[in-house]
Amino acid sequence: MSLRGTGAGVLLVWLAEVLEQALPQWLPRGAAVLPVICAVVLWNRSASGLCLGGVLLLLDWIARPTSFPAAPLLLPLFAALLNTAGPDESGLQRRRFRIPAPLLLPLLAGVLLTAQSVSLDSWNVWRDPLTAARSALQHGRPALLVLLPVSGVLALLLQLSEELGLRRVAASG
Amino acid sequence: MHSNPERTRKWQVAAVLMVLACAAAGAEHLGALRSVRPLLLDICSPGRLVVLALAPFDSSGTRSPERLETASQGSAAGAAGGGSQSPSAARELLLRQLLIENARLRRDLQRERQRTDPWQPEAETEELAVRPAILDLRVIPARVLTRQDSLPDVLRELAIDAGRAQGLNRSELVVQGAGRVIDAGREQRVQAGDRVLDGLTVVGRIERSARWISLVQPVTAEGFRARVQLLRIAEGERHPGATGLLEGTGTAVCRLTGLGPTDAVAAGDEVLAAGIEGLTGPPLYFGRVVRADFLAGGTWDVEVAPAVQLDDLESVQVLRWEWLKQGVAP
Repeated sequence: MSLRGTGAGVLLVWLAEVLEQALPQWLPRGAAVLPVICAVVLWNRSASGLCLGGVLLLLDWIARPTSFPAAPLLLPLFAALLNTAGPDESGLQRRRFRIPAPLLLPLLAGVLLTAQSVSLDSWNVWRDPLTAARSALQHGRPALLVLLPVSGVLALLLQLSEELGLRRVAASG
Repeated sequence: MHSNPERTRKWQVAAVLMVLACAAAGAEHLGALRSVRPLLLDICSPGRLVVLALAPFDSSGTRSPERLETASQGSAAGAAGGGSQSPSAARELLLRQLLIENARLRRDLQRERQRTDPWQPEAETEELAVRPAILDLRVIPARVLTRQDSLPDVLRELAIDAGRAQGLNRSELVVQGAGRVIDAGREQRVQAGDRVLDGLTVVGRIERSARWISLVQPVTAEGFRARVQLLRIAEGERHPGATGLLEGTGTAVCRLTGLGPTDAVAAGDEVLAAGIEGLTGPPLYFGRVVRADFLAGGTWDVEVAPAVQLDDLESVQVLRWEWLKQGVAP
């Protein structure tokens, strides 16, 4: 990932963070930051992109901590699992269950938001899993309503930039 | 066997990130990240303030400055709770609190000056005025100057001296009679007959008013009369009762007269004002019936204990109203 790309990624995440903090009524926690971080990770599907996204998400968690860093833990795992083939299209083709590229971003962002909603409650809540699940749903639902369209638009932009040749994918070794 | 170095690198990065997340969780648990958090939040502060300044309204409809204040207050609360607040926002909040405290102290000082120097012609009285429609209703705060039946000599001299200093007639300021003196007079549009309250409890009536002070007739004083209505509260429900005339007796209790032989009265009934010139206003309270005897002649002998004694009060409110010649259009 180039220096310019890194700077652009940091700036986008900062903007999303700013908007979330300034307008919490319109943008619940994670509704903007998580899709943008996922877009940064998926921009060129490289280890540097994953590193940048993971670090930014970890910084977001440090700034606004929850009971445990569920999203920073899951992002690298899922990003590596979903994206291991990288630019090597043959690797993707060989998979039995291939996830369409436009769905990757909403799916990853949705998983992270769910994890984050779960982590908003303290550990004690999880003594009763049903109550905890309800609570997580209550926390996550408003954010999910914003996250899905935002991540959808970002996924389309990613796709469009790829079609237009604006997105440079790092060559695999 | 084909190995993809990029894939390996991704897994290595993922592993490092997960370790970092676990380390961050441990550090957070130990409180080691508290100093870092304000720094991270401060990085977003410029953008956050710009966004708040640009957005004219939020979803709740409050204007930007109010939201800025709310945001800074919320952030400061976060700083107090978990340290999730930038130092600049906390400083801003502190500055606002100091400004508010300063304004409050200034107001208290002004009020205290009015109390210690009631003869100041420019002293403003903080009276509460209800928006006039057909009735001009005002509540004028006043301080009880004497709690004895006569004006003390010191205050009498003070009043007379102040009157001379203001170029007033001697006779206008000298108030005599059995009652208490308060520091509100005709200057504050206090007139004879106005009710003197402690909250919503009637403690007396203005007997005479001078320019700066007035004489209050307590509800227990001889000559005090007021139309009242009984109210019985039983099982949480209010039952309005008979109307009568409350009269001061010169003792600690008042007498209730004007009751018919068929009226129902019992000890414990509440005594309220029967209304302001026939209009049902706020339920002004007098006290409670402490004794109700039905005499052989078919009349009632009812004693009412006032809820508040004027002698116990340091400040009162004067309720005054006057009919407007023509109603004010809304």
